[in-house]
Amino acid sequence: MNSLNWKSPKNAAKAGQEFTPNIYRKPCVDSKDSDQTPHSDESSPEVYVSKPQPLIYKSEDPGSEQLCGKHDAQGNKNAEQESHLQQLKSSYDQELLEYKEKQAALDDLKKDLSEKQQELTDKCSILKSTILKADDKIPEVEVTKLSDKRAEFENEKISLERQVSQLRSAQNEYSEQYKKLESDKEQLALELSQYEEEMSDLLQKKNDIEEKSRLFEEQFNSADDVVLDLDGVECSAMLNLIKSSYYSEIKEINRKRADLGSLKLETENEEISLQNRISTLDEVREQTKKDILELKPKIKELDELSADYWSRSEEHERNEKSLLEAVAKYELEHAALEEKRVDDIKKLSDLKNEFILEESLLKEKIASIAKSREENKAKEDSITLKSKQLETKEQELDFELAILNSKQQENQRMTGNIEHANAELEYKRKELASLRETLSEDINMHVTIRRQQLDIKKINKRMGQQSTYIRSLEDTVKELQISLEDARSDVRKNEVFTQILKSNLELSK
Amino acid sequence: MSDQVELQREAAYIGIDIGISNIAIYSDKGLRYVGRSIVSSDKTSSESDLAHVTEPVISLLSGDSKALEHVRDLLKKYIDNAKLAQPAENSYALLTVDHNSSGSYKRNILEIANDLFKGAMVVDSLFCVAYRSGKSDPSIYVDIGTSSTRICCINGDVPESMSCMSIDSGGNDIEKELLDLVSAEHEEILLTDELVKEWVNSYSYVGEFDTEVKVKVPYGGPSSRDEPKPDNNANTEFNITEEMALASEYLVSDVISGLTRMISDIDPELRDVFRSNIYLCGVGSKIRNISSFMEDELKELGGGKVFLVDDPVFAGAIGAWMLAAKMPMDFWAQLEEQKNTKRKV
Repeated sequence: MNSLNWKSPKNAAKAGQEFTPNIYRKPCVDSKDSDQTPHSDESSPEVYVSKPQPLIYKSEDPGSEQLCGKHDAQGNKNAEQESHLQQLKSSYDQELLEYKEKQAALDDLKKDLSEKQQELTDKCSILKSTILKADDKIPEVEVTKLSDKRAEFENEKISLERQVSQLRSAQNEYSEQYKKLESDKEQLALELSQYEEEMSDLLQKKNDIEEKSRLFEEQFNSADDVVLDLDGVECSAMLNLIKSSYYSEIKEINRKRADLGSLKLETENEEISLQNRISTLDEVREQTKKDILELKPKIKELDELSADYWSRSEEHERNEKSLLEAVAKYELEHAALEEKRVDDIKKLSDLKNEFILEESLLKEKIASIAKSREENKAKEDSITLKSKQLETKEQELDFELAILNSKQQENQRMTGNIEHANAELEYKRKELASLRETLSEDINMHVTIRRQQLDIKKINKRMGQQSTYIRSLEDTVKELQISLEDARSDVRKNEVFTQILKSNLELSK
Repeated sequence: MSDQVELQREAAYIGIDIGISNIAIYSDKGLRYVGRSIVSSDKTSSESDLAHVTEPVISLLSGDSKALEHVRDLLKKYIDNAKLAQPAENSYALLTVDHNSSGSYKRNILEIANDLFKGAMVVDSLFCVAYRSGKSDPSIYVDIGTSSTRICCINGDVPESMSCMSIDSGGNDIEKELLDLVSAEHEEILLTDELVKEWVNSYSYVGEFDTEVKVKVPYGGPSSRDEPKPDNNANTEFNITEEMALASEYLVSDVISGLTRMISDIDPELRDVFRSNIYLCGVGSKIRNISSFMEDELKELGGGKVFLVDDPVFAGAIGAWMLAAKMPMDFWAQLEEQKNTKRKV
C-alpha cells in the first residue's frame, strides 16, 4: 500500500469488509478452514480473513436484548472504527516511512546531482585550464623572442657571410699579390742568376784583360831587351819599322788599356747598379717577408673566423631544425589539444544535457513529493491539534514546575544571602586581623624610628663636634695659608729688594 | 734676626724722587719736601738771575758731566732744607731714576747719594709709585712728565726696559701748543712761557668742561722777560677754553697711542687685567677730566679703566722711602762694604 492508492475513511469502511488489518484482533479462520489448525505453519498470514465475528447474547428480556444488540452493534462499529483508525495510522506511518525513505533517496539523488555537478564543473575547469595551458604553453612573448632571435641570427648570418665574402676577396687579393710577389721573386732570382753569370763573364773577361795587359806590360818592359836577330843588318828603315811597329803596338796597348779602363768603369757601374738592384730586391724581399708575416695571423684569423662562421651556421641550422621541430610539435600538440577541447566541449554539452534531463526528472519527482507532502500536512494538522492539547497539559505542568522552581530559587537566594553575609563577616574578620598586624607593625616602626632619631641625634652631636674640630682645623689652615702668603709676599718683596740690590751693585761696580 | 730688625727700626730712611721739574723728598714720620729741579747761578754775577737758571737734572740726563756738581748741590740743599730727623750721613736713601735714563746718569746719581748718605740705592721711579699704591695686580703706570711720558707695565717686580716705553710728549707740549694757539688767535697778546705754564697748571682740561677758561693777559705788555711787568689795571681777560682743550687733547692723544702700543705688546691673556688697571701720575695727571677722557678714548680701542695716583708729587718719594725702609739691613751692609772697599781702592 502506498500513498497513491490510499482511500478515504468512508471508502475504507466500505472496503473494511474486504480488508480490515486489525492487529489487536486474532486472525479469523475461515469456516472452510475450521478443520485446520489455527497456528499451522502452512498458512500464510495473508490468508487471514478479517470477518467480524457476531457476538451472541442470550437474554430473557426482548427489550434488553434489543438494547444489548444495539449496544453491541455500536460497540462493534466503534471497534471497527477504531481498527480502521489504527489501520489508517499504521498506513500513515508506513507512508511516512516511505516518504522518509523517498526523501532520503531524493536527498541522495540531490547529493549525487550536486556531486556530479561538482565533478562536471571540475572537469570544465580542468578542461579550461588545459586549454589555457595549451594556449600558454608557447607564449607569444617566447614566440616573438624566438622570432627576434631568428631575425638576429639571420642578421648575424648575413653579416658573417658578408665578412666571409670580404675575407674571401681579401684572400683572393692576397693570393694574387702573393702570386705576383712570387713571380717577382722568380724574376728577381732569374735576373740575379743572369747578373751573376754576367758578372762571372765580366770577371773572367777582366781577368783575361788583366792577364793580357800583364803580358803586354811584360813585353813592353822587355822591349828594351829585344834582340833583333838580324845579323848584319844595320839599316835605319829596319829600325824605323821596328820603332813604328813598337809604337803601333804601344798605341794598340794603350787603346786596349783605355778600352779596358772603360770596360772596367762600365763593369763597376754595372756592379753598382746591380748592387743597388740587389739592395732594392733585398728590401722588396724583406717587405714581402714582412707582408707574409703580417698576413699569416690574418690568414689564421680568417681561418678561425671561417671556422667560427661554419660552426655558427651549423649551430644556426641545428637551432633552426630544433625550432622547426618545436614548432611542428607545438602545432601537433595544439591540434591534439584542440581536438581534445572539442571532445571535452562535446562531452560537456552531453553531460549538460544529461544533467538537464536529470534535473527535469528530479523536478517532477520534487513536485510529486511536494504534493504528497501537502497531503501529509493535512494529516499532520490533525495530529498537531491533538498534540497541542497534550502541550496545553504539559504547559500547565510546566507552570506548576516553574512555581516550584521559583520557590527553589528563592530558597537558593536566601541561602546565597546567608553565605554572602558569612563571607562579609569573614572578610571583616580578616580585615581586623590585618589591621591588628599593621598596628603592631606601626608600633614597631615607631619604636625603630624613635631609636633611629636618637641615633641621628647622637650622630649629629658627633658631627657638630667634628665640624667644630674641622672648623678649627680650617682656621689653622687659613692662618697657615695667610702666613704662607705673607711669607710668599715677603719672598717676593725680597725678590724685589734683591733685584734692586743687584742693579745697584752692578751700577756701583 | 732680631738684631737686624732692631737695626732696621733704629735706622733712618729717605725716599727721594728726582724728576726733571721737581725733586721730592719723603722721610720718616711723614716728613715731606719738594723743590724745583733748577739751580740759579751765583748771585754775585753781573748777569741777571733769569739768565743763570739751569736745569741740572736735564743736563745730567743728557750726559753733561758738569751738571753733576749742580745736582749734588741741589740735593744737598734740599736735604738740608728738609730738616731730617737724623743727619743724612746716618741715613739710608733710595733715589728714583727713569727706566730709560742712561747708566752713567744712574751711576752719577748713586755716586752723589753715596757721598751724601750712609747707604744709597737707585730704583725705577714708576716702580716706586706702584709700590706705594700697595697693589700687586698687574697694572700700567703712565707718568706724564714735563718733557716726556713714560709708560710701564708693572707686575709685582721691578720692570725691565722691555716692559717700559717713553714718548717725547709731555706737559711742555701742552704749553707750546697753547702758546701757539693763543698767539695765532690773539696776535696782540704778549705771552711768556711762565704765564702759559701757570695757565696749563691751573686750567688744563680735556673732554667736556662746564666752566670757561678765562685768563687775564697784560695787553700790550712785555714781550720779553727783560721788560717791566704791566700793571694789574692793564690786564685784559681772554677766553681760552677751546685753545686749552685742544692743547691738552694734543698730549692725551699721544699718550693714548702709546698706551695702545704698549697694550698690544702684552700677553693676550693678561691684556684685560692690565687694561683695567691704568694709573696716571706726573704733571699730566693734573689735567682735569683726564681719566674719564682716556677711558672714553680707550673704549674705541678695546676699553680700559684709568685711575689717578694719589698724591702724584710725592708718590714716587713715598714709594722709595717704603722700599728703603723695608730693604733688609744685609743689603745695605753689602752696599756699605762695597762702598768702603771702593774708597780704599
